[in-house]
Amino acid sequence: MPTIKNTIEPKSIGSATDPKGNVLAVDPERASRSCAFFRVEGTLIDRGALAASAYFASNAQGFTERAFRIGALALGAPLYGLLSQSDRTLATRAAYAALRHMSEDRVGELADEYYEDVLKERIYERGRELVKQAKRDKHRVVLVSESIEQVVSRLAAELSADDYVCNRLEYVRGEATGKLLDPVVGGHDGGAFVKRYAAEHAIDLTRSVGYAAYGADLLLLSSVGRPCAVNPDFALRAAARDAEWPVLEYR
Amino acid sequence: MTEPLSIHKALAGRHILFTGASGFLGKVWLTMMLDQVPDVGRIYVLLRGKKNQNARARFEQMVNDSYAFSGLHEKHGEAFSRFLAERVEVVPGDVSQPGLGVEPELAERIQRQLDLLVHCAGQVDFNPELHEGLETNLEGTIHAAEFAAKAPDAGFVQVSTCFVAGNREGRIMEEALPNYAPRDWGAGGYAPSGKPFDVEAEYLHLKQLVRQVDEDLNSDAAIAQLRQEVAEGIAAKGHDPSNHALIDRILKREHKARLADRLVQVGKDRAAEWGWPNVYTFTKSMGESMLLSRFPRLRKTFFRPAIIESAQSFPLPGWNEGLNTSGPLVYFAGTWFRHLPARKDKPLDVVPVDYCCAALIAAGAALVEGRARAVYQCATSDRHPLTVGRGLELTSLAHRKYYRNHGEDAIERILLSRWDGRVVGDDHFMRVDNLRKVAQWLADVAKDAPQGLPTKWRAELKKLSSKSDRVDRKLGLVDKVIDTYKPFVSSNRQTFSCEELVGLQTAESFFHYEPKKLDWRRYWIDQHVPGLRRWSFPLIEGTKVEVYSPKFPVRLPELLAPGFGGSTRVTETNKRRARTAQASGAAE
Repeated sequence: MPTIKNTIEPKSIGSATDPKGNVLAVDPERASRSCAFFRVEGTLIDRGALAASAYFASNAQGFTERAFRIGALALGAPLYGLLSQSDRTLATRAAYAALRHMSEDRVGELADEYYEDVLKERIYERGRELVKQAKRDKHRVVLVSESIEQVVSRLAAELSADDYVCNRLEYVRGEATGKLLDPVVGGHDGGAFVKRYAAEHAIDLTRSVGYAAYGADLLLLSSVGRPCAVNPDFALRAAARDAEWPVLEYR
Repeated sequence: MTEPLSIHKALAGRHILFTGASGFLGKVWLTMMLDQVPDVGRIYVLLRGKKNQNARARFEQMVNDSYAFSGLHEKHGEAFSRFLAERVEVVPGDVSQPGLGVEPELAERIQRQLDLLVHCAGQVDFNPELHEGLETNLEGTIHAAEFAAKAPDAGFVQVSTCFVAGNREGRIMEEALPNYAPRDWGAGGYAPSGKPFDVEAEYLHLKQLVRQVDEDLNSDAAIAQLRQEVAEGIAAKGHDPSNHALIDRILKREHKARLADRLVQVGKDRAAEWGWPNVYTFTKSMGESMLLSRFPRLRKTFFRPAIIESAQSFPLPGWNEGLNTSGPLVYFAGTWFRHLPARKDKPLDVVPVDYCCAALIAAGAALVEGRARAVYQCATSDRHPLTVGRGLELTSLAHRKYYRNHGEDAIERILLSRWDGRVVGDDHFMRVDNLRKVAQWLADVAKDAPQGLPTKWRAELKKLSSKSDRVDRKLGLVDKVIDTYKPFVSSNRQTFSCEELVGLQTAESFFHYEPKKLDWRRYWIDQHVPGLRRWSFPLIEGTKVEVYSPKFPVRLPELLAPGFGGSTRVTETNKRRARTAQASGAAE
């Protein structure tokens, strides 16, 4: 019977950690009764699951393996594009399938590299400003990301976020199976997560803020009192216009 | 439930004789004792003087030059000399000599006060010349045990190795069996002579073997034969075969080399016959058997570490010295060599030196308190295994990290950083002997370039030939390393139980052994491989290893006053010891 690590709890909430993995203490002052939910992809960074997966695949162990993984990803990229519009959960699952058989050690190291070399310098300045503003407004900052924990924990530490929710890979005997543990973040379940989180932390959603960029995040934005579409895709732009939500463009 | 053992209480005011302080493990043990158990009575450090350096001067140089002591230097500054003088007494001696080669009066003084003897000295080359292995690992152990047995009530810790188990598979328990030999144990039969292993008989046999080799190679006929071969060799190279001075010089060198080779080979063959992978484990195991048979009344414990490697944090992260087991393998995995013939799922039983020393101190304290078990195995394979496959993956990732940030050129930063090592089977087409064949073929082809080729081409081919020769020599070295380390990465899928050590609960968490505390990824990538790069790789590359330079070098007093070098701190303990010694009379 294989052992599955990182069995996800029904509430897939992690605490922000520093690069060494130490859990950052949550400032009780900041744990106010309102939250600022940031859908990371599109609002804080411009890289999604496919970019991360491509980076991991291109640095797999051995040249043959790299070529095979990159080839598979390249073939699947158009499918990913299509799925992103209709079923982003499935698209995210498909993207991370490229990490199958990769060691947990390699994933951890590559996540550090990916964050340092690719993501860190691609954090939107306006995104950072929004996070700082949220803190000044005494919101609890929560990141929602389709990326994997090893990457998001670094971003959360960088932005001093209070909490994050993200995807976790399934590992069997130290190797990734290529599957994501449920629930997969990135699809239409953002709204359910926000409601659950609010219930657990006594958050007043009517005073809370939400920032997101994709049509899949409609429910997330609908759950908060002050939604904001950031660099929206076609579907979210249309919905924002209909609902008269503010739209921010800084990509 | 037994109360946790307080290391500080158990060792406060206790007097310990320690052998092997100049080794990798020994230095860390000593620094850890001085740093973590400063209330210890007296540590007698047995050290052999060198040709132009007495034991005290050698000790001072060790303390001043080695980074292992840097933390203590920084902590105590100018007062470090005094701090050391109050706790450490350097004892000139040699484990290969009866009575440890200690002056009788000094020996008697030490024995009167001795609480514990930690015998850590050993010949750690896997395949030394047989007589060297016997002198240090077997006779040295006997001498040390005899020394401890003469003390009124001293415990004896024998630092051995998990690999005394030899060529066996499966879980190895923490037990010491008299007259143990792996072949007897595994097959249930007797080998190689049809008689069961008897350590005393084997010891005599090995001594006889050494004498035999010596006589064979020093016989008139053998010398004459060798002289003839040397003369022919000289003639073949175009030198004067009647140049007696040259012949004598080469003869002397050749004779020494052949004698050494034979003494290594007979030891290896004999070890293999009984089921040990090398002379080191063979002689270490014989040392254990001898202790069991010759010293039944001596209070003792066998402390068996697995593969001791870089420190996780003490005395400093990544601290290493010399070439330990993983050093050469890790080094080659950072070159263009990629394919390691090994068993991917075999546990690579590495234990950081600071984990090992903390456990060794705890085992000694348990012995002093009368709570020690017969055997403690200090290993990771049973509770928190690292496999060879994972070890190589972590090694690749560590090299990747280094080359990406510190690569000398684009090839290193971009290509070598991504040149990951792989575990392959013995029959892989990229195995070392196949690569050597290619290199040799290339060298031969380039050497025999047709005369009709343009001069420029011939010059290039000559360069290629010598380059191929160099590659072949390097691959030869790799082959030798792989062969030496085969027992650790390929043969014998063993896990070593460490239940006794984990079960030894200590009041101070620092000394409690729990391999599960180790984060392999962080240890390997952030401490172990960088440590090897700093302390061990220079030895492989033939460059200089860093030497510490303290602000206040240690100078110990020339002569220590009888007793405890004038230390008032331990006077009461001294008196108590003296009274006990008088009352108890002679030792075992």
